[in-house]
Amino acid sequence: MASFRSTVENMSKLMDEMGITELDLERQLLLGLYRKHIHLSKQQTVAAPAAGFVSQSKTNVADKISGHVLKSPMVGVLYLAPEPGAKPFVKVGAKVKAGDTVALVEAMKTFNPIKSDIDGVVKEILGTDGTAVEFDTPIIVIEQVPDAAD
Amino acid sequence: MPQIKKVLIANRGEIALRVIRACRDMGIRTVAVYSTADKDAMHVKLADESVCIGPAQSIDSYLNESAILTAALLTNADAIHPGYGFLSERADFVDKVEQHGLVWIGPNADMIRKMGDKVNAKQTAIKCGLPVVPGSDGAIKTIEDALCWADKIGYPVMIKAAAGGGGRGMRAVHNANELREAYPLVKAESKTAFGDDTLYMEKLLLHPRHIEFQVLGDKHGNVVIFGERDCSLQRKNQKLIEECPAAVLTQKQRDDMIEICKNAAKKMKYTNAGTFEFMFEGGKFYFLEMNTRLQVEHPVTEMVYGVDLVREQIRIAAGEKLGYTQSNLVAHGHAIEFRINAEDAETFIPNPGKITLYAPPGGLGVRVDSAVYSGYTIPPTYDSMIAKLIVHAQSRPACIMRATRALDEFVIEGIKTTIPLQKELLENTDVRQLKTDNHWLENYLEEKKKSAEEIVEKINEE
Repeated sequence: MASFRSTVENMSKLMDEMGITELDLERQLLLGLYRKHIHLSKQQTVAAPAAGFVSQSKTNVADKISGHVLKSPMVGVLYLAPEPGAKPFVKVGAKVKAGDTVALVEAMKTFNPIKSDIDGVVKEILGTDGTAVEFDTPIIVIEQVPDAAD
Repeated sequence: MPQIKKVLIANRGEIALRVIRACRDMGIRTVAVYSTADKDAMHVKLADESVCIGPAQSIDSYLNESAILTAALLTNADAIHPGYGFLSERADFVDKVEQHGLVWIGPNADMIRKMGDKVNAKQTAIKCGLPVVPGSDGAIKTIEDALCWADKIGYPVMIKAAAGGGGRGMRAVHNANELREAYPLVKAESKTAFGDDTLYMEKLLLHPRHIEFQVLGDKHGNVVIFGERDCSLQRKNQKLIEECPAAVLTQKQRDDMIEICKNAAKKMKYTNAGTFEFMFEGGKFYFLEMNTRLQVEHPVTEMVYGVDLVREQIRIAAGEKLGYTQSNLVAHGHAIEFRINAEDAETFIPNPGKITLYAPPGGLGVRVDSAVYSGYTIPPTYDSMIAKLIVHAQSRPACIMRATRALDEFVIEGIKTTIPLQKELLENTDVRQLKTDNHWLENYLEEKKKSAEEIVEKINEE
C-alpha cells in the first residue's frame, strides 16, 4: 500500500497535469473500518494569468506600424491558412488585391474572412496562426503600391 | 454543483467594478470586456484579464452577444455576470450562455421571459397575488389599438416599451393627440435602445411614490425579501436619490408587503436577485414591474441589512443555499444613495470630458461606487452616471446630516456634475419631510426654471 505522502504527491502531480485546483479523494480500507479522506486545494497558487490576450502592448504596437493595417473585426481565433496544414493565405512580399482574403477569424463556430481593402504588397504578418485575437487587434500590414496591378 | 472560479463581467463602469470587487473578495478570477472607447476604463485595469470586444457603439460591443460569448470561452470563464442594463434581461442570451456550458449569474431564462418582459410580468404578477395597476392586457400592436385601450383605461396613460427599463422607452400622454404623437416616437426609441419595439399601456397614477422590494431566492426554494427602497425622487423616470427603508410606510404596511412579495417570489420559484417595483398611492401598492437583475440602487439595501448582494448572487448561481431565513434579516438604520451624473445640474445636458481632479468623500458610513479617477476622460457614448454616493447612519435625520457633509467633501473637477442639485435637494423641506412623490422633482425643477426666468425679466425691465 502506498504511503500517505506518496499518495498526496502523486495526486498533486496529477492535478498539475490535469490543470485542476481542487480534489477530493475518499478511500475505504479494511472492509470500511478504516476510512481515508484527502482534500487537496491549490486555489491559492493559480495566480498566473491565462495566456491569450495581451491587451496593453497591442495599441502601442499599432501606433508604431507604418503602412495600411488590417485589423481583426471581432473577438475570436485567428487562422492564417484556409485549413490546418494548408498553405497560408498570404506570405510577406505577396501581392494582394482589394477583396482578397488574407486571414480568417473564428467566432461561435463561424469563420469570418478578413479581406484586404486595398491593392498592395504584404509587408508584415503580426498575428499568429491559431491564437486568440481581440476586436481591433492588428493582423497584417499591407504596403500600398502605386499601380500594383501592373 | 457548478464551481465558479472565473467570472466574465459583461458590463462597464461602476457596476463592472462592483462585480469585480465581489469576485476578488471571494477569491474568484475576473475577465473584463471592453469597447475601444473604454480601453483606459477602471474595470479593464482592475480585472485579472481583459478582452476588447468591439467598437464604441454598444450594439457592436456591450450588446454583442457573440463577441461576449467568444471572449468567455477563450478565457475559460465559468460564469457571466451581466450587471444591469445591456444584456442583463435578455432571455435568449441567457439560453446561449447556458448552451455553451457557462453559468449565468442571475435569474434563469424562463424567469426573465416571464418577469423581465413587462407585458408577461403583469399577468404573472396577478397570478402570484401582487396588486396591479389597470392597463392593456398585453402588447399594443397599432396606434388604433393604443387609442382604444387609452379610452378604456382613461387618460392620463403611460406607454412603455416591453423590453424597456431605466426610464427609457416610456412616455406619459394626457390625451389622444399626445398619444398619436408619442406612439411612433416611443416605438422607434425602443427599437434603437432595446432592439424590440413591443409596447404596452398603463393607467398613470397622479401622485404615486416609487417603492420597491429586493428579492433573493436560491435554487432550493428558499426565498427572502429585504425591506423596501423608496426611489420617488426621479426626473424623466430616472432615479436620482434612493433610500432604504421607505420612511413613509408604517411597520404593518411594510410587514404585509414583505409577506405578499415573499409568497409571490415563492410561487414563481424565483431564483437569484430581483426587485418587485411598486407605485404607492393612498396607502395602496400597485405592481409596476419586476427587474430580473441587480439594480443600480442595491447598495442602500446592502448598507441597512449588512449583506453583499453580488456575493449572494454568485453563491446562488453556484447552487449554494441561502443559509438564512426571513427572520434573520435585521434592518440597521437608514441609507441614502445619490446618483452623480456628468450633467449640467440645471439643464441636465450631458457633459462628458476629462476629469482633472477626483477626490471622493470618506469617513464613517460613507461609500462611493464609481469607476472614474483623476485624469480619466468620460466617453460621450454611454450613460452619464459616473458615481454613486451611498451614506449610512442610525436614523434618517442623521443620514441627511452625514450626506450633506459627504456631498460637501466630494470634489470632481473638469466636468459639470449633478452634485449641486443633490445638495440643494437635501436642504429642501419637502424632501426632508417626505412630502414628495414621483413627479415632485420635475415640478420643482420646472418652478425653479420659471422663477429664474422671472428674475431675468425683472432685471431687464429695470
